[in-house]
Amino acid sequence: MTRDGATSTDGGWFERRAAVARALLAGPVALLLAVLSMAAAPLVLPPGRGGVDHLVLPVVAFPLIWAAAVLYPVMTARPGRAAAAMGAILALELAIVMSALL
Amino acid sequence: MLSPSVTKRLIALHGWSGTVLSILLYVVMLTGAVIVFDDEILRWSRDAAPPQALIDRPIHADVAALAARVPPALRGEVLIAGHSSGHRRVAFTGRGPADAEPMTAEFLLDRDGAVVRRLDAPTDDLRRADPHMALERFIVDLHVQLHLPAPWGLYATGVLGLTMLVAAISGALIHRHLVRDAFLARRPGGRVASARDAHVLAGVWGLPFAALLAFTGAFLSFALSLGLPIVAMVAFGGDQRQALEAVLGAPRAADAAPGPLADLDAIVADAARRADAEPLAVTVEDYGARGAEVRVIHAPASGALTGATLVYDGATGGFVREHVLVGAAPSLGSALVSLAAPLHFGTFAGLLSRAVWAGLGAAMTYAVVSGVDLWLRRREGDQFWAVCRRAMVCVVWGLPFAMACAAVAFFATVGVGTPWTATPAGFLTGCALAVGWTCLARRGDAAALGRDLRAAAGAALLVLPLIRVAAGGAGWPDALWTRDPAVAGIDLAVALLGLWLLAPALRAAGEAAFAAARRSGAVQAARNRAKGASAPPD
Repeated sequence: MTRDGATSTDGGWFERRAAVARALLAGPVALLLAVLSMAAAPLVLPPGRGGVDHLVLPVVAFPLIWAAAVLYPVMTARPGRAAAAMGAILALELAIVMSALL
Repeated sequence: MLSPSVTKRLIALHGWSGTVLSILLYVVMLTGAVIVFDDEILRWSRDAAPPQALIDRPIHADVAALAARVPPALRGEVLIAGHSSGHRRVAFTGRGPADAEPMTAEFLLDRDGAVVRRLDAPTDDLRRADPHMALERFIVDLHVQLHLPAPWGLYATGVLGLTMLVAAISGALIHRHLVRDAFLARRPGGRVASARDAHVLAGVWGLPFAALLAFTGAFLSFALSLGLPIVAMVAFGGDQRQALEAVLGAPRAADAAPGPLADLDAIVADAARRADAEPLAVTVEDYGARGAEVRVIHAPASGALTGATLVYDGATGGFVREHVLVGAAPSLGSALVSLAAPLHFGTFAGLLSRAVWAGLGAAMTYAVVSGVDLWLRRREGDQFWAVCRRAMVCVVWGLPFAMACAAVAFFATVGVGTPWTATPAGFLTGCALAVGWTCLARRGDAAALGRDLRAAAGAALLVLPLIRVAAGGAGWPDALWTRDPAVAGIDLAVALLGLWLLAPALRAAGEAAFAAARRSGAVQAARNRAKGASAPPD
């Protein structure tokens, strides 16, 4: 397998699988990650001098987090590693949010 | 340096992200470039008198006289500001129970302080009660939420902002030579290479602006529609009111005992000196109570991006503090939030910055259109994509045509009071005509279709000032000398834009006429030669 996650001999199947993985990561997973980031960040960020930074900064950063989450799986040579990294972040954010809601 | 395979994937992301939602993105960007001048459009819609500055005339006596004319229940908050009609606006809004619909009594005063209009209505219905706002509101709503129901319209425009942000970042990454591309010499002709050069030029120059607009636009769309409910859910048990109060501040518990209000004119003068900027509006909370609070809102001072709002004690007239948009004290969060709107709307340096924003917005609109055109031309051999290209041409030139039709319908009906229904009806009629022409035009050539629709948009814009005047609007001598400069200015801009849109059709018609004249001349010359040859020699 090459660094791009594709093989040179029977690369069709691997390439298609990598493309599908990238599309899923850059689409619904990126959206979920950005929304959960916005939900989890108020619970861990400091409120700052004005007492609102933990509420406001996640909303301001939401478009940037989403854009980064779209671009990362497209640019990385290893979609498997991107899936693992994004999955770990999602799990962490989910744990933070659930701890607040339950 | 990106590897070829990463570059290939980024090009695919850039192309698809720009193309899939391109029609809606184009609608939002074109209307955004127009609505930068929403204040001028509103004044044009009214044949406004020249605007009054807040400090042109004292306000304290006006407010005191008007307060005596409204019931005490409506004195919860008073707003004193300019109005797009050129008059001074003084609005008294009641502050009843949280579940009751607030009511407003709005007065418009001329330069002598005489009341020219009083309007009593539920606060949310005030705009709807004013027929002159129909055109401006129609374009603003098209830009902000595509006329979709809340919150879906804001979600849609937020996703479009994100799409544009991804297209801008991927565009920056795939251009390895941004500086060289910024000075690219466009290859002549109508080839794909020439279209690519045009797209690269517009895209590279507008890249930072596109990223800025996309980011601030996505933030403005998502902040209240998605951000607030999510933050409220995790941090306030789903109570959005509590979340809003945590960010914007809880309602004041003011001393309700009756008491006189300090001199508003002295407060405004002091605020103008402290802020070193022009005061735009004054609000008085709990008017007539000892615990009244006065806020003076300013335009941005020279060199600043945002304007200051200064808070005064209503009873003593003493300066209290500078108001922070969010939070209890200035912080990173409040600075970022207060920058979003001025950077998105370009309002920080008056008409000049808004004109620059409109120009850059138009350039980015061109970058979107030229990018999609390039993408579709490369696939034109496929019947499906050829049809898509005709559809895109229909939208590109049909939208300005439909907007011009909406404006025509607005001016035709504003005098009879039905522009709130006529304006969207005019827009839909324009859309139907553009789609109908696209379906019926027999020529398969997308360029010819574009020229026809462009000419239609140009003709509609060109007649717009005539229709405004014919419908009872101010004539041009009146508009030039006694009205707000926005009236004649927008008339001129609309006419010039119409001529620019009509130019290719006029040029083609001229060339056709010239060719026909040459042909008829050649035929005549040939006949003459033939006559000369057949004539018997002397």
